[in-house]
Amino acid sequence: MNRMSWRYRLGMNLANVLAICFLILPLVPVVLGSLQSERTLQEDVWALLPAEYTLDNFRLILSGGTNKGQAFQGIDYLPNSVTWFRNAFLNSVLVASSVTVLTLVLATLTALTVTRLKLRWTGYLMNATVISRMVPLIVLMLPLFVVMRQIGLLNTLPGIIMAEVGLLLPYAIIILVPYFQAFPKELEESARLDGCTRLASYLRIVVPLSTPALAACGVIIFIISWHELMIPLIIASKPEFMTLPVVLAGLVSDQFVFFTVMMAICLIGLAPTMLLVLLLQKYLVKGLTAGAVKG
Amino acid sequence: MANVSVENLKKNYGLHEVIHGIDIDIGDREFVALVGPSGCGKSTLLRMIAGLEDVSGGTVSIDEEVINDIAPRDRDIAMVFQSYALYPHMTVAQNMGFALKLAKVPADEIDARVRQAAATLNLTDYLERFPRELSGGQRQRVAMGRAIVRRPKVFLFDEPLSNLDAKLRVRMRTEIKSLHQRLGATSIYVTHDQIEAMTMADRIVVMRGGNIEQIGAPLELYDAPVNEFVATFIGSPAINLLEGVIDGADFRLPDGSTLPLPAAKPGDNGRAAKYGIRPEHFAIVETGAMTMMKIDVVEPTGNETILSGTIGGQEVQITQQQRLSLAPGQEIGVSLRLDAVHLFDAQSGQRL
Repeated sequence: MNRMSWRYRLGMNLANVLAICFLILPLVPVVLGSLQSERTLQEDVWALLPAEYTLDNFRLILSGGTNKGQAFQGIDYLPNSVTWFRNAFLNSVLVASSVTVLTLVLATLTALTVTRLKLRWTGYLMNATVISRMVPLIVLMLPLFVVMRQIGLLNTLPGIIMAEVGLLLPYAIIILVPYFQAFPKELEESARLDGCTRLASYLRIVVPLSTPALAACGVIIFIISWHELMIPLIIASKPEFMTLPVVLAGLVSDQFVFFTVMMAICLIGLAPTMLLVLLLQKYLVKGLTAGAVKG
Repeated sequence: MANVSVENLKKNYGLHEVIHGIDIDIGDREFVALVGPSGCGKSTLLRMIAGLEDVSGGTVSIDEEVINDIAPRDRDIAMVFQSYALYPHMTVAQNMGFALKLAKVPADEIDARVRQAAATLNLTDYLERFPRELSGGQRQRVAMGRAIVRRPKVFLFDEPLSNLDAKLRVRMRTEIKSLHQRLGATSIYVTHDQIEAMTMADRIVVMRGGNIEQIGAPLELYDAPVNEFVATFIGSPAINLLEGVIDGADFRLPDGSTLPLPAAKPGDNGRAAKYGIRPEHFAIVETGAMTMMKIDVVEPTGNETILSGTIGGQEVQITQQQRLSLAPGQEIGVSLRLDAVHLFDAQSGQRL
């Protein structure tokens, strides 16, 4: 490739900075909001910086509503969202990790079946998988509720996990199939001649070599599951089964809106996904561009 | 060690039959090459022996035992792939020991066998490296090493040298042949390169369009090809084929000139045929020329000189061992070795 001219590079960098700002800027009011009391926020809505800073929002949610601090002195009613926050955070971690692991295991096996076994129906099943993604999720909510009630999984974490795996499996399959299609067949064949069964050759050869794709896919699934609102909202109505998005939604009602608490929860809620992306960074770039160029 | 036998073997993809009932018997310790142009079914045949492709009809057996339905891993066969298929996430030593590890061979024995194989293949210094850190030739040797540590009944090679540069290919050819002489394992070697087949194999199977054209020792195929296809496929520069008609004791070219026939073929009188003679079976003579050749191009290669030109208007190539000072456009008298002439039917291509 030719060396780019400085104008071109400047333009590219500017565009890059703009795109980053577009994504990052909304975080600034969230950070500022989480660091002030509801009163200072409401006093002067045009102020760019808060008049005084406080960590009371974080104290409140992390203590489950017992440590009210100065900011919440006069408030005696706290919604479930605040009192059950720690529990909801754990629920979210549990749900998102189980969903990620389960989806990856099932999607890997499915993708391998689709790409490796020349069975008659795999093509049709693959199409059905793709088409099933075209159905808007909201349409499925009522049937999902009825089914979950029938099998007694309403108000349970397994119920939420199962429903989300069902929702995310097609995505994962669609992401993984092209990757496994591009995977050199000789490696598996060689392993099969070396003494592996088909399954063993997947587990010993294909899976270890697919970490970039699996990491990329896993992060995407984790993030979607982490911010999934509708499924946990509909399946679990009791506070002990709330996840973080449900907690956030619960902070807005007809009678009250806890802006600053909401922003603090948002920030805490961001942490796990950020951490995951940082940890898997080196795989992600490889995985997201997998198959783009012949490697 | 083992003998491999293939009986009436067929393969179809859907309704499309690509291998049409093949029979081959490969003896213990034999080195057999499968050659043919791309798409002739040689790789498919090899993969069926390996168990990587299902058999549509007929049988594959090793040591008289039919193995059609035996999984690849239970066939005790090692295969060297064209792409080498080294496991990228394993070191050379792990690659070579993988099969033994799966077979639950004790670790110290694996180590000993890997070291022994590595010593044979000059890989000892590279055992802890990953495949990506090796050159093409080294990777090729690791692929070989992975096969030999297993001491399998049968070795299969699927064009193992075609990814190497020309010089390395010649060297590995010699190495594989000497390895085979030392190990004495039954080997089946697929290649599209007839020189590889000629130089390495005890016997060659020439295939075309899913059929076997001829099976025989390399020189047998060279000296007595059963048809035009085998004759042109084996040998470089290729055999000369001149079109014409058998006319008593002579072979008459379309321009009216004649070439002598080795023996009169009364039954074939008047038959349209091709007159096949290899480039080295010509001699340039001052007197007693059987025909005249007009030279177009002179290509000296050092050990021999290739002369391209025409006899009776048809293109021929001849090779001469001595150094010649000839110029394009010159006409020379040539004689032919009559016992080396092959006649092929013009229609069927079969040897007459």
